[in-house]
Amino acid sequence: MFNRASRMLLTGMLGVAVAGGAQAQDDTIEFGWTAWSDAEFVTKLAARLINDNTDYTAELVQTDIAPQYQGLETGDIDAMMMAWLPATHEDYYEEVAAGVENLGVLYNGARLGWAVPADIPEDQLDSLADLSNEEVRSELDGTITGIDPGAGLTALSEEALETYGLDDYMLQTSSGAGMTAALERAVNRDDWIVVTGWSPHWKFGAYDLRYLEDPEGALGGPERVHVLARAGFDASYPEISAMLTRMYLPIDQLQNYMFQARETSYDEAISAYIEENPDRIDYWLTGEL
Amino acid sequence: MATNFRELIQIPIGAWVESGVDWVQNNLAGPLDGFAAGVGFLADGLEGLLLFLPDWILAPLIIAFAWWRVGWRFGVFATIAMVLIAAMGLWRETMQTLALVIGASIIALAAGLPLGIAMARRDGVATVVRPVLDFMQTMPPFVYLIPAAIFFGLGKVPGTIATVIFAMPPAVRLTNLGIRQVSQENVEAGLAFGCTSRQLLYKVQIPLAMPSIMAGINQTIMLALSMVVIASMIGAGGLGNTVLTGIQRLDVGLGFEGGLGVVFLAILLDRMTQSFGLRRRRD
Repeated sequence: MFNRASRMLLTGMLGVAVAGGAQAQDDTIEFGWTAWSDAEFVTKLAARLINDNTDYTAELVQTDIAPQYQGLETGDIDAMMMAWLPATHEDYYEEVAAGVENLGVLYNGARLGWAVPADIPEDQLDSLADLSNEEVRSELDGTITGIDPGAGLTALSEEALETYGLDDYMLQTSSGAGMTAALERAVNRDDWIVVTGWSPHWKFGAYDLRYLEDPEGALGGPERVHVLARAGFDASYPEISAMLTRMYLPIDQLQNYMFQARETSYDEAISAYIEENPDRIDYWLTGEL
Repeated sequence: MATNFRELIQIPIGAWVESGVDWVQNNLAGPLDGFAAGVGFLADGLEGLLLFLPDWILAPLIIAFAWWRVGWRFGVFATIAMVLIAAMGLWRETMQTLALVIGASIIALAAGLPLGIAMARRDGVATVVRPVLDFMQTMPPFVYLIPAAIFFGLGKVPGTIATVIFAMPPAVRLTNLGIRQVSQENVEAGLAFGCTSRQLLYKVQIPLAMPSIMAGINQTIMLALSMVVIASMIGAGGLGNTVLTGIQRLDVGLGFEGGLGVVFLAILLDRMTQSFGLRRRRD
């Protein structure tokens, strides 16, 4: 009895889901995003603006970064707001560049680098070149704490190890979460640690960190974060495309709200942002200054 | 919509867990480090051994073992698997993964088999342990990767520990089940011949429960292998790194090669461990 009832319920739910999906297709915009703090903030911000101010519905599809590029190319997702160019996502972007629309810069001055807790004395460890000192190496146990093995930052960090002749260091790969867990552990124990990092990232709000100098420029220059959309997006949704093109946030502002989001929630931080920056939001939505 | 009962009952479980994790790392650093050192000794030792033996010694050893335990057809399969792993340039990664699986399985069995026996002999233990096993098996492993990394850092040690947690339950469950399923007649016969409780366990219950216990060991090894990719997110390395790299770079070929290495290891370990269970049953 229970079995039949639950089966009927399930069939009914599937039916509704299918019908809903078919109906909503045309005015639903699907955003791909990865659970990185900055991606979460800007993507949910854009989705909120679309849902509250236009006739369209924004839906979020959470995946890893590489499938997002693929999804854009195949048209499975409509837009993503987290393309780090020119260097970090170069490999992904090159593969799909011909089949996507670039809706311009979302924020400037993003960067990659190796970061350390600020209480490590600067006269001992200030630059990537200092890492070759034997004392520094033994404090660090010969380890640089990295992120995902396939990430652009990992490839750049491996090159940096070569550039600075740091042969006796090991780049410990893990994941973004693994890296921040290792950072938390080291900060709590007053251990030395070097992590491969990027800005914006909430960890710069949560811990007192500084980037190491990179005199050789091995980890690349400043990066721009772009909004990308599938081919034909502008023609299908001119209004939304114009809004996404106008969206731009100063990075310091973004980092503040990212930390606020971590302390409260993304929804609350986004509400605060919308409330506290009415002119900016108005310009994004209408294009009028 | 604005106020409903969901907003009236707020139980900050997440916050409790976080402060629990904080407490452990602030107060138990010493014991944690000792435990990590022990696990690290085993993990490094196994990996050192498997990487110290050159492939032209180790591969024939594995093939010969496969042939002896399972049969000549499986020996042929093992040969093909070894050649392909070497040809894909994944020998080193495969041995790292094998070391992780063996190390984690040893720990899981050393803790799990006695626990399973205790569960079978005392209902109270079973009542307490069963929900813990449910928790270990169904909590998505991503969730306890982060505490593992906070307690033990990154690398093989937290990778091994996370793998142990994920892989241990079947060994415990099937040991418990196997001993409980030994028929009452056999137990009574043993008692009638004057077995002590210890003799009953070692001479009657465990031998009769052996097929079930071996199935549990086999499942533990398989689960340990399936944890490999996830554990590489906290630096366990090996084939998991190859797979993750393939996924992140949209490199289907590389991901497939890494995955194929995992499949080969799985088939080899599965058939070889099963062979022990089957042989016993036939005796």
